Amino acid sequence: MELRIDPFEHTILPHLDAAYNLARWLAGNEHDAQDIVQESCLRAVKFFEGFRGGNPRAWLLTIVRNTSYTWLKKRGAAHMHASIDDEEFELEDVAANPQQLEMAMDNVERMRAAIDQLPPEYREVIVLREMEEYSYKEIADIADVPIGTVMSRLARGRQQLRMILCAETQPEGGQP
Amino acid sequence: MNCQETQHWLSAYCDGELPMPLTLELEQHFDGCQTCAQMRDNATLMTRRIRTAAFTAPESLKQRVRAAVKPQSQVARIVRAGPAWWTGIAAAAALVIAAFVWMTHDRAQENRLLLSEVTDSHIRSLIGDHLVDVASSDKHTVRPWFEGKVDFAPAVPDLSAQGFKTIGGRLDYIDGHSAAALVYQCRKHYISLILWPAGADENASSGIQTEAAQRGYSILRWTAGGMSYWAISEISQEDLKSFAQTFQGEVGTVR
Repeated sequence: MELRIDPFEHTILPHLDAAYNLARWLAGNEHDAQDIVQESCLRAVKFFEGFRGGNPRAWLLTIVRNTSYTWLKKRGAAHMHASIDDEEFELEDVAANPQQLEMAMDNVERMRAAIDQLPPEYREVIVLREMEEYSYKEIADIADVPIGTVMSRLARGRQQLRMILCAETQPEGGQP
Repeated sequence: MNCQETQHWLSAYCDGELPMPLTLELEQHFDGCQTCAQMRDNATLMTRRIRTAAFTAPESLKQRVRAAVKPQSQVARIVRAGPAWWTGIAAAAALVIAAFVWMTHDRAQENRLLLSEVTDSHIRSLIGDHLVDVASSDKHTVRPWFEGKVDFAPAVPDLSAQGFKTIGGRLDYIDGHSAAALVYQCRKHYISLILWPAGADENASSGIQTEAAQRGYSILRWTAGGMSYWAISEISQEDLKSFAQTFQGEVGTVR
C-alpha cells in the first residue's frame, strides 16, 4: 500500500509567497509574475516524481527562476538589461550619509523602484538573500553559480542599491 | 585589516557567511574605525528595509494555481467529494485495509507510519495558522505551559546563540499518545522537535538516527533520558543534525 500525497498542498502551497515574490521581482510586473508562478507550479507537479528529498522551497524556487528566465527571453526580455561582469569586484568607498540613506529607505515604493533598477543578476541574489533569507550555498544552488559569485553579486548589488537610493533623495540641484 | 579589505568582506560579514577568524578580524577593525562601523550599521539597516519590500502572493493566485494544478495532481480525493453511493463501499474497503494493515504490521511499517505522522504534524503546523499553541522565546513560559497537558516536562533549552531561535510549543497526538512539539527557527525555516516518553521496548538512549526524507523534509530521531525525539524541518540534513547535536548538548546541562 503506497501513500499518495498531494504535491500541491504539501510542497507548493506553503511556499507560494516565496515563489511569487521571486517571479514578481524577475518579471517586473504582477501579471507576468502570476503567469510564471502558475506555469512553475504545473511544472513542479509534473516533475514531482523526480523530486527526491532536499529543500522543497529551494526546489520550487529553482523552477520559478528557470521559468522566469525562459519566459522573459520569449517575451523579448524587456526587464533583462545589460549583463554584469562578475570578475571585476571592486568596491568604491561610499560611506553614505546615514540620515539620507534612512530617509531614502523609509518608503516601500521607493525601495521597490530602486531594487527594480538593479541588473537581474543582482536583483535575484538580493531577493533570495534579503527577503527569503537563503544561505550563500542555497542561493548558489538555485541561481546555478559558484558561492564566490553569490558573494560578489550581493556585495555589488547592495552597493549599487545604496547609490540608487541616495541619488534619488539628493536635494534638488545641490551636492551633498 | 585595513578599511578596503574590511569593506570587501563587509557584505558577507553581515550575512554571517565568513569563517570565524575573518569575522573576528573584521570586528576588531570595527572597534577602531568609525567609518567602517557606520557602513556596517547602514548595511544592517538596509537589509531590514529591503525585507519590507517583499511581495506576497495574491489570494486569487492561490485559487488560480490550485485550479490549474488539480487535474495534474494524481491524488485520490475521493473522500472529500462528499457522500455518494460508493462511500459505503469505500468505508468498508478502508476497514478491510485497516484490518489487513493491523494484522501484518511490523516494526518497519510502524516506523513508516510514525514518520508519516510526524511529517503530517509538521506540515499541518505550517499550512494552517497553528505553528504553536504557546508562542514565546522564553523557556520559562514554554516549559510550564506543558504542565498538566502532557505527563512529562520537556526541556526547552535556549539555542538562540547557536542560531536556533525558540518560537514556542504546541500539543500534538502521535502514535496514540500526547506529544509535545517544540518549534525552533533556523534562518527562515521552522524546525519541529516532537517528543514523547519512549516505549518500554526502546533503548533508554540512542544516538541520532537519520530517517528517510519525507516529502522533502529532513527527519532525525533519537532517544535520550527515556524520551523519543523526532526533529523535522525543510533545512538540510546536515543543518538539522547540527540542531540535534546542539539541542542534546544543551539538554545535558539543563536537566
